[in-house]
Amino acid sequence: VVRARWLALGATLALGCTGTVGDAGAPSGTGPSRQIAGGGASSSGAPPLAAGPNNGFIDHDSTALSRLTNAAYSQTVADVLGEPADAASRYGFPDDPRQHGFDNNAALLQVSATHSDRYAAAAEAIAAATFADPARRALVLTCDPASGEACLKPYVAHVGRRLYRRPLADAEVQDFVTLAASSGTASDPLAGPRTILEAMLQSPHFLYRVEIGVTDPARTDLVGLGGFELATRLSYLLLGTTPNEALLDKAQGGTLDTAEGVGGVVAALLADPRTRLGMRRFYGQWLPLTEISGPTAEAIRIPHMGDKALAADLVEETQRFADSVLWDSGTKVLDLLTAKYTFVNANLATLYGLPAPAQPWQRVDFAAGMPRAGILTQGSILAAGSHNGVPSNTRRGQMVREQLLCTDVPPPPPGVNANIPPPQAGETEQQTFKRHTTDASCSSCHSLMDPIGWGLSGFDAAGAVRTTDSNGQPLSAAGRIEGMTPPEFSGPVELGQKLATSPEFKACFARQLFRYTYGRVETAADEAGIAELEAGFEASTWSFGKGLTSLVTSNGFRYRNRGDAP
Amino acid sequence: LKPFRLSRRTVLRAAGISVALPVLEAMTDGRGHLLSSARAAGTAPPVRVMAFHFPHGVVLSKWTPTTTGKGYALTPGLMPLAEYQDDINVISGLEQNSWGKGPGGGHAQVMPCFATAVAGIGTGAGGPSFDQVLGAELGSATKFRTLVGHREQADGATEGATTAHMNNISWSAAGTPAPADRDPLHFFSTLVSAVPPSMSTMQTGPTPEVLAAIARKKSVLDHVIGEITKLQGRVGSVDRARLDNHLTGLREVERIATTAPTMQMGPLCAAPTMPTTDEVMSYDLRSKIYLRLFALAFRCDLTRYASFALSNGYDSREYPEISKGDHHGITHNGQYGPDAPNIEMQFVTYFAGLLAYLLKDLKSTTEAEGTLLDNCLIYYGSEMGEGWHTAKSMPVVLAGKAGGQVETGRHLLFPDGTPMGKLFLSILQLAGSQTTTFGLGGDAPLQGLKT
Repeated sequence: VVRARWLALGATLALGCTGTVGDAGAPSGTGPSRQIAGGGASSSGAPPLAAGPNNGFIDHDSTALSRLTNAAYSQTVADVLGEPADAASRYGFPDDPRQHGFDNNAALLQVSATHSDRYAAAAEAIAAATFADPARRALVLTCDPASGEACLKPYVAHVGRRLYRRPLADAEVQDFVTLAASSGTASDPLAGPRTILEAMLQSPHFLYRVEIGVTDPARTDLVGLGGFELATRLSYLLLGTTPNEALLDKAQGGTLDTAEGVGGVVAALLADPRTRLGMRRFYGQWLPLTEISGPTAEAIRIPHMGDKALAADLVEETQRFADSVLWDSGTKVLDLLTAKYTFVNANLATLYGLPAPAQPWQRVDFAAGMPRAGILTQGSILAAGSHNGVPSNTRRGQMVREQLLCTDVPPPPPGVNANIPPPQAGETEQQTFKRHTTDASCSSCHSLMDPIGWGLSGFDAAGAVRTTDSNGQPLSAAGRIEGMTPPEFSGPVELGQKLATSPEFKACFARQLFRYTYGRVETAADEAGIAELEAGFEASTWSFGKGLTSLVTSNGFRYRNRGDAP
Repeated sequence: LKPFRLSRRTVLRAAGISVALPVLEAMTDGRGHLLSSARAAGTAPPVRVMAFHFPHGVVLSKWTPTTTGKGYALTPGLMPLAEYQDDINVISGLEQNSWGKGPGGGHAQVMPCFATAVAGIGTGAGGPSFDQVLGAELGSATKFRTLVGHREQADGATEGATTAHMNNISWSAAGTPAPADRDPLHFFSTLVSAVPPSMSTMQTGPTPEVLAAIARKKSVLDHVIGEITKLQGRVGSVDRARLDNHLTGLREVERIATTAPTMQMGPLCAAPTMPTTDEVMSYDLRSKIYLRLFALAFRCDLTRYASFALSNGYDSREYPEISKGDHHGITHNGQYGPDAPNIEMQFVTYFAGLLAYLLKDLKSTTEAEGTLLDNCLIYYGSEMGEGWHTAKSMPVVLAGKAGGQVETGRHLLFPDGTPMGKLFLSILQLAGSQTTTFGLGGDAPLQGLKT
């Protein structure tokens, strides 16, 4: 039992409250209790979290269980047990469903019978492989199992702390020792440890991020995350994997019980190169690179079907570019749409008509007048907005609407003839489509999408410049974003600038990051949180690192409504 | 092929494990022939049920027969099924009347309706599919309550809904997909691991090693179940429901782990040959791997309820094996103009040929006094009527006699707008379910389907 962390939204501080973290009796942080306040001093000596633009929103969602995504599972067993990459696909886990592009929506991440079947098979195989390989075995077992409980107990405590991301309670350790006794044989002293590992890999404490939190008797409607829970949430969000030993040590030492400590941990995590890789999962699903990098997707979008090498190059280009924009000093999120440079290898230099790079991958600054800027003119995004090698103004416009402006475009109503008529002689692609969408029920939605796509029609399905449209007719660079003032723009560079300076894009970026961070689709009650998140970025002039910092140190990230939990 | 016989009883007695034996074994004469007393007693081999999905509808003018009842003239779309005309019913006039009421685009809306007849919700279908209803209610006699296969790997499209909408036709409950096996090699190994490698293991029953392994797995699962149960007491109602669902799945895994190794199959259920990589990569051969395995699963009584989808709801890939162009684009005419319906029909007849492939396998297995196909109900259909997004006049073939309950060889034409839910309710009841309503408008079975 430990002292808990308390939230006081006003100047009132609740002191001396207690609560538990983890299973009953589980030890947790041993440091001082954390004080979170909208202002005022703490009489306990722990510094209060500074009041800031992001400290008013409290997550109203009451879910305490977020199942690990397949990606998180794979990375975790790789890090902790030395399991080769892609465990989830090797063991046939069902694909994680995605909404708004994101695969971490907790409401969708159920554990079906099929999941349990695959988790069981994976657990047995991973446990066997871990103990079959001396190097991997040494990651988890450093004593002689033949010595019985004297070895089993520290083994359970050690591997349990890594896999449950918290220390195990004494009763939990004892249960595992009992389990080992029922399954081990005298002839194989490793049978017990192996069975324990197999069980841990199927445990709800491993498969879910468990966030029971601690309740403040003065604010029984809220719970705050315990130190281990916060370490886990931070690690999976930023690094895409489980907390390492060092981070768990900090949680155990109470570092995460103070606002200063949290700030220091966050700063260290943001400086960790693994965070760049981890946050690729956010923007890769948002933009959405998954459209051309999924298991079958590249064959759909890229001309010359099945050119997986080109698809991989295009994804890498956008990753290098986005990493540069998001993490290099002096850059800002909005540059994603406007920066006049990109990264190419020889393959892409040929595709884009740029000089061959001197290194395998090299930054190239665009010459004045080149019709390229930001992600919208990169082949990855342009390919995602194509059908079978044919650029689609509709699909490109739809992608901008849904992913960059957060406009949900209604689907075609059932029974409407969605057949595109064959082009007439001399007719441009835009004219063909206008004929198709003369029906008011069609044109009302197509006018939201197609005229945005017109601005990108000078690029083929892989992002190379083209001079005629899909009908072989001359191109027009003029486009429109309905609803903006003024709606007109000309060409891809202006499109990027228009989006980057629009309130709609800024709000949408915050909304997408909110969805990814909290693992759910927002409700009306979340609008305040999204607005605060946007304000945090605005206050830090759209520096990605600073904006993220304000997000993960906010009360919204560290507290949530308790709901009807006991 | 000879009839198969389930030979579990001896083995189970040796293992000291008791499970309910299916009617099938108890009522056969030891060579697989149904005892006449069984027929008289109203017992019969179990009805096997499958939902078989093909994408993007048909060209109705080249699909729907012009006359009803028996002796109708086969249309171009149905021609690949000529050999099985007496084994199937063609059903016309049904409507997926729940379409248009859920989230997502024209494709994400319709996939969840395919076997549920209920509109999608925020996270997927708004109710269970009939194969899962049967598995939950009647599936405990077999190793797998249901088997769910999907020819494709998952696709990224979401259409404003979720990928769960696009990628699943089988749903265990509202918003909860029954995940499909999308890897034919994995599907193969799953089924083959349920089939004994040789006669000797079948005759001798589980070895002490097998029994020890069962006991160990049970200890592990019991430990996990204990942890979940404790955790349930510490979370709110939404999470408790999440863990309830988790527990249901785990208990099913435990049921399989503890009983399946002792469920022995007859000699005709010997493992099939391993598919090759070339087969997996080919549209045609990949599809047929699944179909062979579904037939095997029915033949060996590994499951009685299955679903299989050929595609996600939005398939714009090209399949030179089938025809030119991408299937989705062709159903919208695309650049193909007046020739598009003819190209589209090449897909339609190709898919019907896959159904014929399955029917051939099922019909070649003798069971009781007829064939395995006689004891099946295969719902073959699409998520759309025509590929340009219609929900009326859905193309449906219902293959098999449900053990003599359904007269086949007919074209049944129902009034426009007859809810698809009525067909699904009919299937459920013919398979022995106690269900009385199903989906939107499934308040009574289809008139005239049951003989």
